[in-house]
Order: sequence, then structure tokens, then C-alpha cells
Amino acid sequence: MIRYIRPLSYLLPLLIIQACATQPQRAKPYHPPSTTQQSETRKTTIPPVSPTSTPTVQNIQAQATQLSNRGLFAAAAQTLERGLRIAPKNASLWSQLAAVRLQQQQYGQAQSMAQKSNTLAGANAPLIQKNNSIIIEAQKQQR
Amino acid sequence: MKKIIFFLIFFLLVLGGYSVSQNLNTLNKAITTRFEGMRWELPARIYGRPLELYVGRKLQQKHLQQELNLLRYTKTEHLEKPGEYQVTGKQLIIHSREVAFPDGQQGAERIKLSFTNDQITSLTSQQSGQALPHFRLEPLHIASIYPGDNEDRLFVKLKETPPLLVQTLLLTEDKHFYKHIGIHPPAIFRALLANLKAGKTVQGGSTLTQQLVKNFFLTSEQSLSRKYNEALMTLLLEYRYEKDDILESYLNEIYLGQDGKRAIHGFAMASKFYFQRNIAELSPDQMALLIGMAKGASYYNPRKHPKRAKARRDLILRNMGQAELISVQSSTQLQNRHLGVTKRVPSGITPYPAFVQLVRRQLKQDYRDEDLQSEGLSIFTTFDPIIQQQAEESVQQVLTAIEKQRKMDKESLQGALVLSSVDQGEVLAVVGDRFPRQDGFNRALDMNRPVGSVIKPAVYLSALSQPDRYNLLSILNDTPLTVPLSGKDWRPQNYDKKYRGSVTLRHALIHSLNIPTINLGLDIGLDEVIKSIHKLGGPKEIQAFPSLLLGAVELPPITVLQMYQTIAAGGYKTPLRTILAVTDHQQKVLQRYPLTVEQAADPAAVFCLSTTMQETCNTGTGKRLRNLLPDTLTVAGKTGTTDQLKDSWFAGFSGSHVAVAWVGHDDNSPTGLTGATGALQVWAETMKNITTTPLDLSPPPNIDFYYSEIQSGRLFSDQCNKGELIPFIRDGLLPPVISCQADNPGHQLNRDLKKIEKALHDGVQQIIRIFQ
Repeated sequence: MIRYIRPLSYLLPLLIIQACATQPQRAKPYHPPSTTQQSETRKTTIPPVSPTSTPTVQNIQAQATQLSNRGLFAAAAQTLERGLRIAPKNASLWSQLAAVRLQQQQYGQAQSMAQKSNTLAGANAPLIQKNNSIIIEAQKQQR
Repeated sequence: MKKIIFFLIFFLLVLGGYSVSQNLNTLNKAITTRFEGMRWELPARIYGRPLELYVGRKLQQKHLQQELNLLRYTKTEHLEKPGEYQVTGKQLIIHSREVAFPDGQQGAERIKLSFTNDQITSLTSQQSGQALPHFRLEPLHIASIYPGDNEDRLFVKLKETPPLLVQTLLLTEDKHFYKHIGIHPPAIFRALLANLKAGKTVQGGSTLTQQLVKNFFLTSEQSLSRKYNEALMTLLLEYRYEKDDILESYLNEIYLGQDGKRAIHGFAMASKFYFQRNIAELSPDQMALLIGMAKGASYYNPRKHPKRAKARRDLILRNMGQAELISVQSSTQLQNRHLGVTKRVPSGITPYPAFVQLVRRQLKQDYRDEDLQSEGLSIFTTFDPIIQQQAEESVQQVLTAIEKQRKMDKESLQGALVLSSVDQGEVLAVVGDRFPRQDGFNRALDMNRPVGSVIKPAVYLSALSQPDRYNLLSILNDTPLTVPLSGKDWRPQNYDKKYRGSVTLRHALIHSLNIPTINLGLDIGLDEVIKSIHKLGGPKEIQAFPSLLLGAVELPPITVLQMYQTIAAGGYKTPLRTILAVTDHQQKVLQRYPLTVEQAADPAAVFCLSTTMQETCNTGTGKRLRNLLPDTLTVAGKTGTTDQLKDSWFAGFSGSHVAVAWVGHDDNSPTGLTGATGALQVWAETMKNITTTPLDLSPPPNIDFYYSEIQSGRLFSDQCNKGELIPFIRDGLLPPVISCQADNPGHQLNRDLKKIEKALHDGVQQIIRIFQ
């Protein structure tokens, strides 16, 4: 018995050291002051700033919506592309273009553009939700 | 009465003919084919992007004026007609021209805009006083693709032709056009008498219809049968078609000049050729000059024979006064004017051959040469003349400065630059030669050169795309390295020939260290790196040699641009585009080239990579940029230098533009330039002078930032405001953590690690002994 206790007495400190080595302190991600309150569920730091929508972009989006409502999807897409030349990082424009591509049955593009919009959407939860539903629909149609 | 005369003459002609029915049939067929089919082969025209104007747009006033000058707008004190603009300090009023865009017509309008600090702060319609949400200027015509016969014309409808031009033309060439039946015997008789009296040909008796028939169908041969056919065809033409139709054809067919091989046909093209104006913008004296040339375009060529041309123009102006088409007073005043033809003949060859070559390659995928030469297509492209001009100047100025500074032979260096928008992949400028008007070897598209360290971001992206294995603080070996190759071992070195023991992945990229990059690339596997290069937009087939990790792969700048576009756009590749839409001669859209995106790389991995490339431009191999660019213009990029300093590269991006520059010798001899001392300067000079947006990277949702000790590659345990914030992909591998309290975290950590290592070693030895 003693034969086995002796080695175990050596193993014990080793296991303690091992435990220390494999479970180091955890680091906490940085939380910017402005998002501390909402950071309980979301650890992401430095929220991306979606470019503010200018009247020009709003006007273009309204035009595109009208064209889409009339079923003129190619023209709507062209109008939104024009908008993206003005505000290329505007998540909302990308999302609207994704929705038009979905209507045009260009499912691959709809999905890519909605994903791109998500990357730019920051903390805009409704927009992310909208994009996700476009992605789900596009994937469903592609199956 | 007219009909009776017509039939009488026709009957006589028919009677006088031989093989009547057969000949008549042939002539009739020739006429209908020409008139009812498309009458002319119309060249394709290539246009740049329209300049978008809207409140909030960053635009230097001088750039707007530069654009207006390129579009041949006239600066004036009092606006009268389209094609003019007026400047009052920081305010401009532009009388725009009517323009047909692929998405619709935009009428001529007077718009008023003001600038504050290089930004448009107001945009209104002068007519309505209403604010305009946005407005587009017409796109610049940058090139044409001519038909085989080299006839260049701009088709104009009769109703779009200024009435004064039509009235003056009829007054000069054919007063009775609307009355005769194609042939006007009294005019022939009068001309005959005048010519007999003068003893030479001084007057022609041909009607416009006869002139048109001669131009359209017949040779210049003087024979009886030709005259007979001419008369018969004239009558047939008049019988079958409306006068307005014939007149419209004449306005577009008439030969009015020559530019090398290019023949100038029609009044609309001649307006551009001689005055750089649209036909609607011609003044009465300019109309008179062009109409005068109908009698003989070479003889009355205003550039070669200005006196002759002026005498003819003044005669026509006098006639216009007498016929009360204009007032006599105005006629006298106009006769005192200079001819007003532009000095420089605008060449039919494009001033932007490098960009147009790229357009033609993309067109070739969808159109046959015949379609491009004859269908009158309008090709709307992404070309930005202001950025192009800046890029050309940057290449020229920087190369000249480097040669002077380094006492190199003048004009010995060559350069290339390609630039596109980040998120749309729209190619905005292509410089393929330091002398950009030369339509020769296009270095931007056709030059395959080793890219050097410009390839490294692809290697690092491969690693960062495996977040369970690598992060920005992963430790890489930087010790002497021998890579066994079949035949000969490869012993690569860092550029400074030093070894640092071990470095973080981030440090290795910022300082473009070769050995850590090779160690990383070999660890990931060459196949993975090649896949990554291909996904970004590089070639698929690359030989899997380890030297590829240092850029021993030959690519043209345009391919490097595609790869960097994908990185700049956060991993979303958009195939580089030059063509947006193609319309036919009636402005009907034939084809659109829509924006497409494809997620080619993980946005979180690309974000980690891009922040590092941004740091490269602050403290790494691209730090010279800090002195060359304004402080507010943040960018990311990578230098590239090849063996013996043969090629100097820089590829990088701002928030809105991505560009690749190359500098080297055509004969591939060393230049003594690194990426930073050559191409980076060209790149910076371009970026500094265009209106671009600073790079403001937005982290994707699955990125967390941690305070990090970047030398040792460790994280601080808490937010202790020490070290630097480094991004990590959530749920990926994280570096070891040290306490905030550690004074010298790097050394402390090393001591701790050594203690743990020793304890482990001793423990393991004990176990081995026990079980032996």
C-alpha cells in the first residue's frame, strides 16, 4: 500500500501545478463606457457606427421602395446601387438591396448582401433581424 | 400639279432607260434597304461615371470645375443656354445639358450649389427654387469604337436640330426643298448658265436629295449612266419617303471633315469636332461655318484654311440677314467674330487608353466586334476622370522626383496604378504607363511581376481564419531557418537579416518579417494559403513552393487590386467592374452589370487582419505614410519589395478607395527602391489628392477586444488600461493571461512559465521513476 502512497504524494503537487497551468486567469473583454449597460448579453466592444442616413440616402431609399412596390426590381436595384455609391457602408441600403435581390430570385446575392449588411449593422437589432429573415428565406429557396 | 410633273419626269426617265425593269428593281431595293434598315453604322461610345452632386458630398470646388471643363462647359458671366456655368466665389450655377442615363432621361436644368470647406452645402434648382436631393452631371465621353469605314457620327433627329440651322441649310443649299420633287430643273438650268458664263463650275444645281443620293449610293464617277441612276434614285427616294425623313438623313450623312482615318459625318458630330459643343449649343455664326463646309469640307476646312472658311461663313451670315433669319445688325456683328473652332483637334483616339483596354476586355465577353462598331451602343462605365487625372499626375510627379533625388537616368522608371471603390469594386482609374496617353503596353493589366510581401496578408488571413489555432498574438519563431527543397535547401532571411527569437503574428505582419511568415505558412500548409489567395481574387493555379509565402508569384496589378478589394470590403469580394450598363442607339438598356458580392473570407478574420495592416501604416513598413498623408486620413496597406529591389509595390485602402501601385524598370533590372521608397510614395500622392474617406474599421459582432501585452503576446486579466486593445474572434483561441498587477508583465510571465515548466518536468521525471 505504502508502495502506492509514496508516488501519489509526488503526484499531488504535480496535479496542483497542472491545475494552475491549465486554468489560468480569465481575461475580460473591454467594454466601452457607452455600452456597459447592454453588454450583459453582448460582449462586443467598440460598437460599429452605421453611417447616419442622410436625406439624400433616405430619398434614394424611398425611390427604390416605390420602384419595388411597382415590381420594377431591376430599376430599384439600380437606384440602391446609386445610393451605395453615396453611402457604401450604410447597412440599411445593403439590406434593402438584399430584399430586392430576393424578389429577383437571386438568392445567393440576397444572402451575401444580407450578411454584408449584418456585418455593418452594429447594434441595430431590428435590421439584423430583418437580414436574418432574408438569409433564412434565401436559403430555403435555394434548397 | 407636283404629282403630275413627278410622273412626267419619271415616265421620261423610264422610257429613256434600258433594261428598265431590272435596273429599277435594283435601285428600289438599294433605297429601301438603306432607308428602312439602319441607315448608318454608328460607333459605340464609352462614357465615364456621372458626377453625383448632393448636399453633404465631399468635393473640392476645383474638382467640380475641372469636371465641367472636361465636359466642355463654358464659364460665363451670364448664363444663356445648356453647357454653361457661372462662378461667384463659393457658389456655382450650372446650366446642365439634357442627358439620357440608362435609368432615364434628365432634362436640362439650371442648378445652383454652394461649397463650404470642400463640401456641397446646398443644392437647388434655380427654376423652381426647390432643394434638390441629388443631381447628376452628364458622363464624360472617353472613347469611341468606330465602324470599319471609320465614319464617325452622332445621330441627331430633325426635331432636335436647331431650326435656325435647318433654315440656313435650306437657304444655302436648296431653297425649294419642300416644293420640288427631288430634282429642280430651274436650279439646274440656272447653274448651267452661271457655269457657262464663268467658264468653270461655280454653282451646283443639285438638290439636297440628289446630294444625299450621291453620298449614300454612288461613287464620284462622272458618267451618263451614273447621272441617270442618280436622277432615278432621287425620284424614287422622294416618291417613297417624306421630306423630313430625307432632310434628317442629310443632316446626319453629310461629310464635314477628317481626323486621320476618322471621317466626320453629320452636323452633330461636326459640332463636337470643331467646337466641342452639342449641336443645340451652336451659335448662328458657328452654324453658318458648318453649313458653308457642306460645299467642300476639305476646301473650307477652318483649321487649315481659316480665311477661305471665314469668307464662306460671312457670305452665309449675310444671306441669313437678308433672308431675315437673323437681324442684319446681328449678321454684321457675327461676321466680326473669330471662327471659334477649338485649336486642338480632339482626337478620335481615347485619351485614356489604359482604362479603355480594360473596358474592351470586359465588352468582349458579351459583344462581337461588329456590334460594337455599328450598333451605336452607349457604354456607361465607372471611370472617374478626376481620380484618373490625379493618378496620372501622381505617377508622373513621383517617378520624376525619385529619379532626380536618386540621380537616376531621366524617364528610366516605369509605373502603374489601379484604383477602385471599396464596396462596389468599381474601377475608377487605370494608369498603365507613366506616359498615360500612350496606347501601348498596359502595365496595370498585362505586366506579370513577383508581388513580394504584398502577398503576405493572404498568408496571415489563412491563419486568422482558423481562430481555434491562431490569433493576432500567436507566437511565431524568428530564428535561422532552412527549408529543405528538392535539389537545394532554401535559407530565407528577414529583410534586415536579423533574428528576433520569437515574435507575435501581429508584429511579424506589421514589420513584414519573412522567417515568421514562412514558419506560419508552412504550419498552415501551402495548399491552404493558395486557397486563400484564390478566394481573395488571385489565380487558382499557383505552384506550391514555399517561396510563394514571400510573394514569389507573378501577378499583374489589377489582380492584386481584386485581392485587396476583398480585404478592404471586409471579406466580401465584388468582381472588379468597369461597365455598368449598355444601351442601344435609342437609349434602350441592352444589358446591366449589377453589383454582386460574395463572402470570400470570414469578416472577423479580415477585421483582425485589417487592423494589423492599419498598424503597418502607422508603425510598420508603411510608416512613411504618416508623413505623406494628412493625420485624419487613416489607411491600411502593405508594402512589397522583390529580390534585388527589382519591383516596388504598395497595396492598400482607405475607407472608400483601394489602390495598388507598382514602380520598376521595364527590363526587370534593380531600381534600388523598396516598396516604401517607391510605390508607396505614388500611392500616397494619389490618395492624398483625391477626395476619399478615412478608414474606420467596424468590428463584426463576434469580435471582442482585450487589453494585451503585445510584446509577449498575453492578455491582461482585467480592464487595467494597460497595453493595447487587440481584437480576437469570440470563442476562438485566446492567449495566456497575466495579472494587471504585474510590473513588467513580459518578464514576470516568462519567470512564471519557467517555474511551471520546471515543476512539470520534475514531476514527470518522478512519475517515470516510479513506474520504472
